[in-house]
Amino acid sequence: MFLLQLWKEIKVFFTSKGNLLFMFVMPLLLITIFSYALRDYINADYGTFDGAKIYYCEENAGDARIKEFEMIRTKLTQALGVTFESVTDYEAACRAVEKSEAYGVVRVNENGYAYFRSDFNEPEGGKLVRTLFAQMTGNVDDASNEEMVPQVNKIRLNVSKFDSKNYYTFAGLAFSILFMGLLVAFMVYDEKEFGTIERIRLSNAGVPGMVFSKVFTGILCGCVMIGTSYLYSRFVLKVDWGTKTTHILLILLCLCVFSATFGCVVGLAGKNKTVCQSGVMMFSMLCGYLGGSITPLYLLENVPVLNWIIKISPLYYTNRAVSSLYNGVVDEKTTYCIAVLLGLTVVLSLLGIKVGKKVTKKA
Amino acid sequence: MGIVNISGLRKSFADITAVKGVSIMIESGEVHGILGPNGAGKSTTIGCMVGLVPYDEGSVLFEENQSIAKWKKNIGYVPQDLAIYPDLTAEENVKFFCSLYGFTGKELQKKVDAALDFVGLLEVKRKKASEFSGGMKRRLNLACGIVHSPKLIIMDEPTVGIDPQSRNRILENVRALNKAGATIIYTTHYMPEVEEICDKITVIDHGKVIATGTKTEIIERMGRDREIDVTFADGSADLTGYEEAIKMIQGVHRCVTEFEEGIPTCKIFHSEESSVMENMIRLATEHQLTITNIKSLEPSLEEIFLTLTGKELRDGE
Repeated sequence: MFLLQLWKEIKVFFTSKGNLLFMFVMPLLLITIFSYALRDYINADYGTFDGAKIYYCEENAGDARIKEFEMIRTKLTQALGVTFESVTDYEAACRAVEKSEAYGVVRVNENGYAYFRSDFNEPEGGKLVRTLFAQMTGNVDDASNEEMVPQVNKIRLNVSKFDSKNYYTFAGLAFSILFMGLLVAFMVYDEKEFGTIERIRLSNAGVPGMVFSKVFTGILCGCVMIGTSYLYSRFVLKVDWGTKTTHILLILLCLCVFSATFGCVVGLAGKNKTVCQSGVMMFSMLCGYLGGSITPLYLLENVPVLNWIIKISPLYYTNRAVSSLYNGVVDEKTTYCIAVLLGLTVVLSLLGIKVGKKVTKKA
Repeated sequence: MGIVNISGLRKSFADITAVKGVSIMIESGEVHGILGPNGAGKSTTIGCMVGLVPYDEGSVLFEENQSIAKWKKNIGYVPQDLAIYPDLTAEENVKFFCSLYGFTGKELQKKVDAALDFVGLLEVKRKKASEFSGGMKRRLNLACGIVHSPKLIIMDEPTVGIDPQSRNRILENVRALNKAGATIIYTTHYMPEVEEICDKITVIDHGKVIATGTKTEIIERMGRDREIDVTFADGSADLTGYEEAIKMIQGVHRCVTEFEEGIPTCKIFHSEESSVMENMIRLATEHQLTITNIKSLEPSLEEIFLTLTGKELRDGE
């Protein structure tokens, strides 16, 4: 029964020229426009490394190692203005990093380097410095907060050049996926407008089956958007999706689930199509702006107060996680992002059940 | 126990009580007309009946005291507003609604074709619903409601705004469905339709049932007179004597004789039909009157409806 409902949804959805246009053109348009129109945002220096500081602590390192480290320090200071400060108390330095007083602590010994950084507060500049540091040293022990010595987590950083095309391929796509909720909202609202929802409620299938089929169609639409964007960015914009493509796809899929569920709730609650449209559009625009889909995330993160407000946007978590994954880093941002998106989906689903019952009472 | 037993149904919205203790019994196999002016509470009553509107008090029980949750698969709903997908073909529409009742494969296709054939849309089954005329859409709406062979079919003004041919086809369909064993609840504003197809009528106004039964029962309960119009040949005389004699017949309440464009006529208002007709003919012979035409008239349903609900305009429901 569900498959027949799904078949009907897919048939209705994919025979609408408007839907097809939205699905195929919208992400490509956003990616292209943002990539070219906003490239200065990504390439310009916006004070990312202001006040950049790294603590270091040399422990029985040989002369060669100390010399090598000195050379790296000089290069980073010259290139980015990062200051290096020698410390003797490693634990105290780590605590200072957790309080955002420095980007990280480098421990130098005969075996190499261990780079400590905060799991939660590492700024964008810190990430870039760490990336460069890893490139310059060839290999680095990344000692995160919970994985300090003696257990050291080794991460090989394959750093890619992060330009506007790379950034907006993901940010623009995520933005489009959020807009996709509008199509789902319309699909759900149409059932009310056509009066077919009453027939469905009277049938054996009931409304939940209809809602699931709509959400599923929305997810399918999102997957097509991802696929189209992938092909376009790979072969036209020459964007390399990095080594963690599967993780990126997983996050985008979670975003599809969230967006389709959101659209469904709006469609159920909306009193008319205009309300549905403005509801989804306003939400998407707000989330898009705050989540770094228009203005790059690192700029928003450097604005006081706003750097807290942006955390209400699901796209903030998405873009943050995808940026890390693009650089080959699977970290807590990926987990947070999936948790936030799926958590919000659960909340929306509960809200949807409540709204669905209200709609039933009003019918 | 009928197929539907509505008892003491009450439903209030924020600022209005739409249904105030409605009780209706619908027997299996009948075509039951529900009449009422706009805002009378018909749609709310039907909504409560099929579980689309939760009610505050009362009960709605179906065959063997079953609730709507268990019995809803036996209901075919044909709403007033078209409930079809304009972007799907007629066949896809009917197939989809039939599949919601668990039909699959050959059985599904058989039912779909039968329903489309029944409403006369089999030839155009691959056409999109959006390309249909108003009448065809209405018939498709009907096909979607009956495709799963329900025991009870609820039709909410199914002939609104369509041409006489499509209207006639729908009424034929209603009769055929009823003949095939389905019980039908039919709401409409067109009194001739109700007179034509309904076995029983319930009139609802201001959220209450104000009359229920067959048309004859309602007329009798209302004490409405039947009318016999008699026309006599030119030159007939002694109309006054005839009038006086008619008035003496038992059951005659009023008699009016007059010349309409020079032709003598007599209007007799009575409660009992059989003896009046016989005596009226006998008295005409006695008074040397030549009858050229006799018309026996029942009060129209529209007349009854207006008497029951009043003639003032009602704003929309």
